[in-house]
Amino acid sequence: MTIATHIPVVGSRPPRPDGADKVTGRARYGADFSLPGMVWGAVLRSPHAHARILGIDTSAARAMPGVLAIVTAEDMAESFSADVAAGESHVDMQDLSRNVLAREKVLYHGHAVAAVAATTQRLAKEALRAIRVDYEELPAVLDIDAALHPDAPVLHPGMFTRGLPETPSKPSNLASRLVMQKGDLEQGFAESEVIMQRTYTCASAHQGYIEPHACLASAGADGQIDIWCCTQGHFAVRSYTAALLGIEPASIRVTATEIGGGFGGKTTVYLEPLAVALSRKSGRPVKMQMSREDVFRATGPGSATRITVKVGAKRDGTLIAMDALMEYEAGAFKGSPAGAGAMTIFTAYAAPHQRAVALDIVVNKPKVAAYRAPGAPQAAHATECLLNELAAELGIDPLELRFRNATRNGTPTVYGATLRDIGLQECLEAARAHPHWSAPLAAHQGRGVAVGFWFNHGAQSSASVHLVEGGKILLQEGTPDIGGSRASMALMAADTLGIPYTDIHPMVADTASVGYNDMTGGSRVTYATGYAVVEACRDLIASLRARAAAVWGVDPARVEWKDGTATDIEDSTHVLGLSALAALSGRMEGPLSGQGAVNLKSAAPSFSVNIADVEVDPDTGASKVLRFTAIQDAGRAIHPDFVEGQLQGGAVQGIGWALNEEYRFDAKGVLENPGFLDYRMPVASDLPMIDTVIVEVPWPDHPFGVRGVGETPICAPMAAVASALNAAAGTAIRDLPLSPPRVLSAILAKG
Amino acid sequence: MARLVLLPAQRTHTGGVSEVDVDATDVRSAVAELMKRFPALPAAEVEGCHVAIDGELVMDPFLESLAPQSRVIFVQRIGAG
Repeated sequence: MTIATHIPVVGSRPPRPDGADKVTGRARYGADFSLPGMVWGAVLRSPHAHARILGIDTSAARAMPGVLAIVTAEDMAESFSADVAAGESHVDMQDLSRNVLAREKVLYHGHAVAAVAATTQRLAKEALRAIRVDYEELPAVLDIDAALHPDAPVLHPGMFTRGLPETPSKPSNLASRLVMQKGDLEQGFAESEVIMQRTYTCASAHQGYIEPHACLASAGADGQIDIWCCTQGHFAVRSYTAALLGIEPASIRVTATEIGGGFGGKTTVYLEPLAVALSRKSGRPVKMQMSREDVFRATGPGSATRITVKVGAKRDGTLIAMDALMEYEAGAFKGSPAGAGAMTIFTAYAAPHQRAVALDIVVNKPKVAAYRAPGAPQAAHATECLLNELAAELGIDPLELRFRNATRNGTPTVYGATLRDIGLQECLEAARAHPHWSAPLAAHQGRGVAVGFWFNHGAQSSASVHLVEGGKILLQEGTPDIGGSRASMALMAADTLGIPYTDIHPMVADTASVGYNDMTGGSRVTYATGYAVVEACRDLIASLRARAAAVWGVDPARVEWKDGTATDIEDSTHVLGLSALAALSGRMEGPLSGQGAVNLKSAAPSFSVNIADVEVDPDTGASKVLRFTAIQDAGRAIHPDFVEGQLQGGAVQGIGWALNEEYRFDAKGVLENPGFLDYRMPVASDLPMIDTVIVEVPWPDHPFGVRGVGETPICAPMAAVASALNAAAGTAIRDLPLSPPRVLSAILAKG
Repeated sequence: MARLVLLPAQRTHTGGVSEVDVDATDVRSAVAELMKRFPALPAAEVEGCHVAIDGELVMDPFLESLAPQSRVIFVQRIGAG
């Protein structure tokens, strides 16, 4: 493919189209929608981490004045013919149904059991207290060792481990075992002169989006259903809700509201099917919203992990063999990102002998959800920290160690693909040239470096452009705008049409107004939806050229589209702009539009290099990130402000996961810190300015050279920060988070 | 003959066979031949996968062409955030 080389608009930094609404409060988020006659929904949640449901008696609640509807698992479809393919992931609908409403058992504290619709929020909550649920409490399985113990209570009697040589005869909490290998591991370690093995753990961490889940659903008497919700994928909401309730998808229209963060956590459904079920039963619009505590207890965080990595190398630092056992908690239902973790853990390195074994393990905790490069940050934490330890052992500069071993174009990965058109070397060179890398450090300060990798796939997107009277363009996309995509889409459209950015009016259309789109996830929107926008603009240009040719009575081949204008290459007096062509629409074939639809089956891999400086107070164990530099290959930065924002946001989330964030459960599986006071996320005053360097190695499969940028930024920070902190404190802590008590304990232990 | 390299979860149903040579010109016919040869292999273990065809990662493959010596490695589906 030929990548555009003369790019006057792409790469500039105009204000985002939705900016004014967001800073003035006009933008409407999930909880901002209301309808006449609307009532309120509320959810009854399990007080146990693991229990059998013996019965649910809703009669007292049902008899309360003002209570209009109650739903339990009996109101959900019970069997599903197939998984639902909703873009990035195939979802087991049996599991999703049971996560939305528990059926036979509750599997974590906070698991939804029933939902009520009532005329007021207070009444809905009172009605929940009137519902009687009889439980048989079961022992809870709360960590990896407990789950894999031969005598462990089994969460799912019908779950047999996938991926073993033979189908096991007994059910287990090990959902699957995945092995990926290249080369000959035994030979690789035999050839190695230095072998190191370490085990690293990460706590479960929440995405920490500011906006709790919220939705409004309205079921009409004719069976038509409207949903307004904050989601990363309104088409997925349609698919899931339809399947869970046995409704024809075309009968559901979903509008994605503005969204206050998602980071992967809003790629599934929790409230939406309940609100629809309650609305169908009550005949009234039903609004539901989670509290912050609900979000922590009952939505999916990222996996807690334990990863053991072994590397073999020559004394000159050449990596020969790399091996990993990767244990990932999935929460109450199978489907941790262990597989993706295994596909990323060694991808940055060309060592010829590699193996990654990934275990997907269920425990009595909330079902994990995607969290920005799912599975990769924990994997990078293990490998990158170990490589820093190896560099110290060999007396080699850690950046130099990476230069010597970095993967290159044509290197096969452990999962079978061969990388091409990557920018890892360029990122490493940018790191070495950055003043941060050579800046002096003071006492109790340390520096860490780490590499990150993510796939950035494409998948399905649709877009349309419409010429409006006056000559401006209405652009409809179908991927919710989480990271400034309206601006990026407008830039690509403006560039393709040859008109000013401000002449493009982008909007995120509902599921009934634009073709199918996979979710905003996987760092795919600028890549795939951007491609669809370019296709839609090209389609419109073809129509515009044909119209101009008809006006002039010439062959369309004579008409050129340049700088927003149709011109006759054989007659310079023939010129027609967008406003003139729009004005002629009613006298010719009618409205002018363009459609674009793509299914990009490739992935546009990107790498990052992060450098972190951390200072530790040896008396308290408290730490502070002094300086952080995020370097990443963005392909081509369509709107550099938003690329830099992605790099900065990923760095901050990784810093939080490294230093403070963790789910803390008591012995019965009750989350002890379901709020931002006790679940410690970094705030602005905790952080330095995150410096960014955008490396541009264009991805050749995209008209503008785009590769996704949203997820790679969170892959390397945990390892960079952990390595910096250990260097500063003289410790070797391999468990995250590196909270002050843990750091102080390690400092005291070394004496 | 194109060579298919199976995932561990697929090998459970192929009696441990990890690589299969098939006479196929595209992924669809290769998968059909695989399923025909191993009837116990559930469709769900195959249809939800990505593949790497001669090193090129392909999401949701279907009609992608295969050369006579193509190597098709099944890849677990990648979730994303």
